[in-house]
Amino acid sequence: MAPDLAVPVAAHQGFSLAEASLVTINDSYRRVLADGVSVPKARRYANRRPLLRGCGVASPASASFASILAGHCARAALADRPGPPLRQDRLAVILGSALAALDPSHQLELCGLREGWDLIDPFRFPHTLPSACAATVAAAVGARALTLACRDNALASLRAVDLAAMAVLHGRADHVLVGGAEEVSDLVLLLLAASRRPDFLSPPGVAPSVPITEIAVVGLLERAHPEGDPGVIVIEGYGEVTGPLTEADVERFRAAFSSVRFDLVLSNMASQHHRTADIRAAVEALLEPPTEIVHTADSLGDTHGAAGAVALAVLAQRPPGTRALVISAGRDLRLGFLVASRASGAERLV
Amino acid sequence: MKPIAILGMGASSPFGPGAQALWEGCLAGQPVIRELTSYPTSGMKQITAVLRPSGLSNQVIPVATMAIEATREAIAQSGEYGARLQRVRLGVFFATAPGEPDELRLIDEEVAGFEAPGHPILPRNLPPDAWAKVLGDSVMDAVLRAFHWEEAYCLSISAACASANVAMGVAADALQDDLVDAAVVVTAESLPRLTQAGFSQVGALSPTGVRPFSADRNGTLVGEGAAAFVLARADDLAPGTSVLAWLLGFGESCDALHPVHTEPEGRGMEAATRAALTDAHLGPEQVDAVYVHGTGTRQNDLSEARALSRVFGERRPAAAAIKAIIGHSLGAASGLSAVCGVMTLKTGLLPPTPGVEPLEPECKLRFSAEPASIVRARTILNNGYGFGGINSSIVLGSSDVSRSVGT
Repeated sequence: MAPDLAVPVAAHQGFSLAEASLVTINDSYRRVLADGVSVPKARRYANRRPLLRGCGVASPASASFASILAGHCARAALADRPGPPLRQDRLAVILGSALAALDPSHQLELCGLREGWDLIDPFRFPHTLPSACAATVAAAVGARALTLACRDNALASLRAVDLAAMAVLHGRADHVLVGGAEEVSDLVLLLLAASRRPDFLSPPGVAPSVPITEIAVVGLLERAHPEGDPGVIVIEGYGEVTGPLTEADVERFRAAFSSVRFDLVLSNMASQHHRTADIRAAVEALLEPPTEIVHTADSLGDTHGAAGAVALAVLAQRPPGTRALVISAGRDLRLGFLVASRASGAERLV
Repeated sequence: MKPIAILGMGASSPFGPGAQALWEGCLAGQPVIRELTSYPTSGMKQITAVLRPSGLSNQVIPVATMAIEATREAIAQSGEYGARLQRVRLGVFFATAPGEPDELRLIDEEVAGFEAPGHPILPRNLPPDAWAKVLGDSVMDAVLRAFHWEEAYCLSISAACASANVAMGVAADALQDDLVDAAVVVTAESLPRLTQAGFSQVGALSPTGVRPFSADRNGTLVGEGAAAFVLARADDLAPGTSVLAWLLGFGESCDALHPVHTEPEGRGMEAATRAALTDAHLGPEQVDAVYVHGTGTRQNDLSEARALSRVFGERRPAAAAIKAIIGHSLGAASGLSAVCGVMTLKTGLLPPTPGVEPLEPECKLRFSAEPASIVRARTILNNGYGFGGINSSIVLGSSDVSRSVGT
């Protein structure tokens, strides 16, 4: 992708993201995984049923937990929108998620291997597809336009926002429920422990230094009102840099930062994350006071595919007029950049 | 949308590598149904699938290999344009349906093995790179590495069994938005054990064979395959560039109803088809042939028949259902039928649909048991539907069609 921020900044001007709805289930489910912890065979959903019932899908107990969270957020996002109900045939769902389909797949595989393939839950089987999370949300709110999932790990929800803007731009939908949803299963914790990565691995009995967080953030993206919508988040553009950060990349950032003023930089990089230390240092070196930098992973943990949407939710809490650069570092240090601002209402967006 | 040029395509199918092999196999109309032997199937109700003929050397080919070979073929067919993909802002759009990467299957076997009484799962028993492998898209990564496309914009899209069509549509939008300068769409599916077992559990598999739109149809069979396309903006083509076909329109909808079942009346399918035709600036009367989704299940085919009956009215366009021959290759299914659709535009032939008689009473399409020569094949409708009620259609046009429509 073009590493020049100046180009994508203009690409999607005029889209707004209503204040994102944030649901996070964190401490109640996080487990400390040290050597010797076994994955329980029993279903673990008993304590979730009140929330499961709320999502309104046909077989809620079969859906992934991430999709339940996302459905809850989507309903809240729609409820928060003033005005008449939206046309369902113009309402789309585009979600970023890397982990949502893992646990259903893992559970069914284990069931098949241990107890027989004829015993796997047919209602849970569809939720082994990464797109099931978006489809479940669509079913919960009756969204009948474009529905798809973006699987690109930590970049997933930033790309989902970009795809959503593209969908509106091309007339494929008028409104898009967009964001990210992630689920932390025992498998995820097991794999993280197996990875022996110092940023995830801690001494026995101590929580991982960068906890993985179960979270969903969904906002409603649509064309901005021509006269400006006070308070909404305006998506101004998206771009990516691939591979390790080079000197040339840094120079381009410097040029971009000198032409665009940011009040806030939101990144998904945790302070103790050794792999992204160089990138964090490069970005921080470019910023001048009073620009504030927030590494969302420091306070919320690793929200993985939902990270970009989480950043927008943080921006939604800031005063109108705040302009932010959202940075997500993904696999192989691929970097996604989204420029977004909280509209003051004074600007005209056409 | 503005027409997007299809400059090259490739395929890997039960008939072996190559778009031509797929096309000739489909024209011959002989499905190759075999018993699954690539993994233990004890406990599964139905264990037949559409697999490679025994005459071909590799019965089970790694899905990454299929994807790479299909991509290589597509690039080679793109000629000079394909040769310069390395030097432009390239977008790689990867489409797949299932959430069970091979790496997860291997880890699950490991986990199940260690979880015998007295043997808890130990992280140290798992490979350190398991996290990255399970989260990564190993097939997409293999393609990126094989062609040194590590710097490309790469997007992994999942829209269940509509994935390939949706990736084509997203790639077209990305080209028109100037997000990328060239696009490669890659779709590939193997025969995941969990998918086979899951389809069996939901009662979707046939004990005999796939007979789409037959009144006697009784289910589908899972197949394997890969397809790849090189796409370009019309404005970027040098004079004299050979264009295989044009992508004229894309439409998608969601039933928003049920994780598995389609909406009985096919309203969502109809909406996707109409959206694709509108996108292509075409009316239903201008569609010369239809590559149906046609899984062979009772409900899916009935919904599609009703949707297309409303779209086409009294017209009875020619149609083909290649799942009758190559089975249901999940996320890659609409990609493989798009390859055949391009071949139809080039040759004027439509593959047979074996076993279609007696025809489903509500189906108004014209299937043929023999290769049918179409007098005029300038536009093709290609359908792909998936779990969760995701419906997609694309419209393909022959190499000379963009001068008269869509521009």
